[in-house]
Amino acid sequence: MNKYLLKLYIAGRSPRSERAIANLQRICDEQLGDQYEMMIIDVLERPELAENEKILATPTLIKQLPPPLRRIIGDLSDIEKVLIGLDLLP
Amino acid sequence: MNYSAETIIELHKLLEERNQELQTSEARFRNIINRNADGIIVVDKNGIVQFINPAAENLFDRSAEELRGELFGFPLVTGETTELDIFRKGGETAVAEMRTVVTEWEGEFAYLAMLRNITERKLAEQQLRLFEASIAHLHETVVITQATPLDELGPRIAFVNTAFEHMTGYSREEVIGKSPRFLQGPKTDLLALERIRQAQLAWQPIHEELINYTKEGKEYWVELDISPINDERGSATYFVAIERDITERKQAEEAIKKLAAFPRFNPNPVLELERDGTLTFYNAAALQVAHALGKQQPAAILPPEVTHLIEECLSTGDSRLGLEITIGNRTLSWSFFPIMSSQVVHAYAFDITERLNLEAQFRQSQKMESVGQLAGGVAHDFNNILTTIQGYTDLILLSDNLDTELVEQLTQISVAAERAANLTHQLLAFSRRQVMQPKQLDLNEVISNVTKMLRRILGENITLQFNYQPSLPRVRADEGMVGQIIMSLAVNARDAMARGGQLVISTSLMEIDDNYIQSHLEALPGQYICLSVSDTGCGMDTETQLRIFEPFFTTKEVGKGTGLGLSTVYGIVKQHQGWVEVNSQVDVGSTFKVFLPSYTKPSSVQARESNRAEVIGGNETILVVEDESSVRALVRNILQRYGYRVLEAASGREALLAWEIHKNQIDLLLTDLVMPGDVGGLDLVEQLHQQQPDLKVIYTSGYSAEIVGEKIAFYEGLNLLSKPYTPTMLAQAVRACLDR
Repeated sequence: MNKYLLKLYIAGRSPRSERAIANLQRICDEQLGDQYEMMIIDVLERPELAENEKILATPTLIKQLPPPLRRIIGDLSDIEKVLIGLDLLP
Repeated sequence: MNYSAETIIELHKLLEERNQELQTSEARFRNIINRNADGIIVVDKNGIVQFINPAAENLFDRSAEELRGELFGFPLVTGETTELDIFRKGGETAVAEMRTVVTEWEGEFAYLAMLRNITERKLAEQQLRLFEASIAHLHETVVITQATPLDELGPRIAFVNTAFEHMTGYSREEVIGKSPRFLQGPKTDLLALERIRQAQLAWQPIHEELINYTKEGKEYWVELDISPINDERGSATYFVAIERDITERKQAEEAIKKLAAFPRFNPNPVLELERDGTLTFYNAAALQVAHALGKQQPAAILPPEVTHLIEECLSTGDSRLGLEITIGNRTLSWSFFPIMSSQVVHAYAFDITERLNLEAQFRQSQKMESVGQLAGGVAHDFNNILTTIQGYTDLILLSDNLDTELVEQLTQISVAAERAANLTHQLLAFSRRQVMQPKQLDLNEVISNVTKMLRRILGENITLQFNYQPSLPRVRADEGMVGQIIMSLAVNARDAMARGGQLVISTSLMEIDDNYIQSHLEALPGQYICLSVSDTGCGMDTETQLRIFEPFFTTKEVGKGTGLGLSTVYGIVKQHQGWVEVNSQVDVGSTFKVFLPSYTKPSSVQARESNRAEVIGGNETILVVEDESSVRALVRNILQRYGYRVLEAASGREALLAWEIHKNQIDLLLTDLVMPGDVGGLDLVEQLHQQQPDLKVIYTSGYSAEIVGEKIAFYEGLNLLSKPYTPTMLAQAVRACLDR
């Protein structure tokens, strides 16, 4: 099984960001075991990364690997919808 | 299938109409979407932006052309709103609330996300939370009350913060809905409460300071600011009171007030000066002292170099203490303390005039004491010499068949010796070593006894006036000595009034208390008879006043006075446990006041006058104790000439030995009072009286300072012979004593 590379873009340590990080953490722990790598990118600190990825809004979660690349927007609180968006559920 | 032309036209027309309707409908929808305040964005199944309305363009700060075809991502369809941070083109962020629905776009599956800009609402929420946290963490108490009802009790509490709970001890639940009046108590200022009520009725803000009470009943001071809060329509809905605990400040203010009283009520001058010498504070005492010294301003009593002193104090930080300045007849001692923090100098003055006077008096009395000791010592030796000179001269004169010329010359020696004896007598009086023979005396009586003599001494151009206080208590004094005092003072007064004037002699009873003593070093508490002698003569300056009691100090022409008159007065008064005060002003006159203690003890046996008319000898045995060999030989000579048997001893010890051998033969003991060695005259008599209580004793004395005690009363000519004495005086005293 290929490892998942997940990038979560957030904007500062707002309650929205914290909520998204916590949700993602939970999803990964419950669904991916140790088969993932997670990166959290604060676009306020690294605006050039946001620019490169053309991030328009946060929280944005990008599944970099395995392909296909997926990009979902929201606070990730509806786990089922997230899993579908990440192609983890049919 | 064939359609008729009409049908085709009809259909075409219908189609046209439908197209028209569709276009209208689409335009309507487009219009609605375009005019929608919320942003709308359509993303296809690949997450690519397909449509964006103007509100969304605004939100992203990007045009539809820029965004269309960009990868947005899949907005999660959750049925609920989700909050997003939007990155605007300029780098700013905005907060949006997103709701996503699934839709169709050009026949394909797509997402439609509605984005509502909630940046301002979020900011407001954030600010509100900030305010809430601030109020919660505020050290000051916040009390929010409803604006109504404004009845007697006042508005009811709607909110209090944690600080309120801490300060008052009441919990929030306990106080909501109540009037803050429950915080007030007996010491709360009712007028302040009324002012608050009036301000609230007028919707005006107000600042007050109040005493409130905690739940436990402890009082505390609060400073409160009450402001009415208006809603958006402008009507007042609440009052916000911010209260600070100012108990410590109030206590500090009280402490400052208390401390401020120290300089204010200090009986000595206290001043504060700035660096340039400007006077910033002075107390009432400073003004009072200035006025007493004839100055208008308190600054005028400062030392002249004060500006320099202040500068020095402030640059070094050191104080300057005990700087003495004399203004008029007063001396002030100044001390300067720099207060570096406020760059001022505090100056304290202390009037040390009295202290300086007392010190001068003390020095004076010490000087008099030592001069007296010296004079007494000299006089003592001198008296022994004079006794010998006079004794032998008189003895030769008693011989028969003397040449007339020799008698004349011997008489001259005798007269000179007597004059010398008078001088030593005065010296002894001054040094208080004259043997005092005190009696109970009425001072008024003594004065009237000497009046006749006084009138003769004073002459015709001086009027004499007496002011007696009647029924004076008696004094215990030597009458001759008191007479000598009056005469000496009168003579001095006369000499001070060369062109005539008035002499006033008065007596009064005075109660000397501790207050009096503080300014008169020599005074003692108790009841005193004051003899005052005042003249209207030339007076004395201060320097002279300081020296008048010194022996041989005289302002009179050489030969006119001995310089012993006033020193004799001084000595006699001292010997009587009294003191002398002088008050004099040049060209106005002088007043001498003699204070003698009043006597209340019962009267003792008065001295009998001895008969000096005739000299009779005898054959009794007399033990003569005298350390001075020339005097001893003289005494032996005289007594033997009168027929007596004489035993001699040169000291108390020798006398005791002689007594052991001859005690049964000895009829009279003639002993010097003061002798070197461990057995003095009094010791000797005491020891012999133990063996023979009725032993007759005559004391001889060159002086006697210490012997004036309560134990033995001395009576000149009876049991005391003062040196120098003549052979006749000796023989009379011996006979009188033996016959008693």
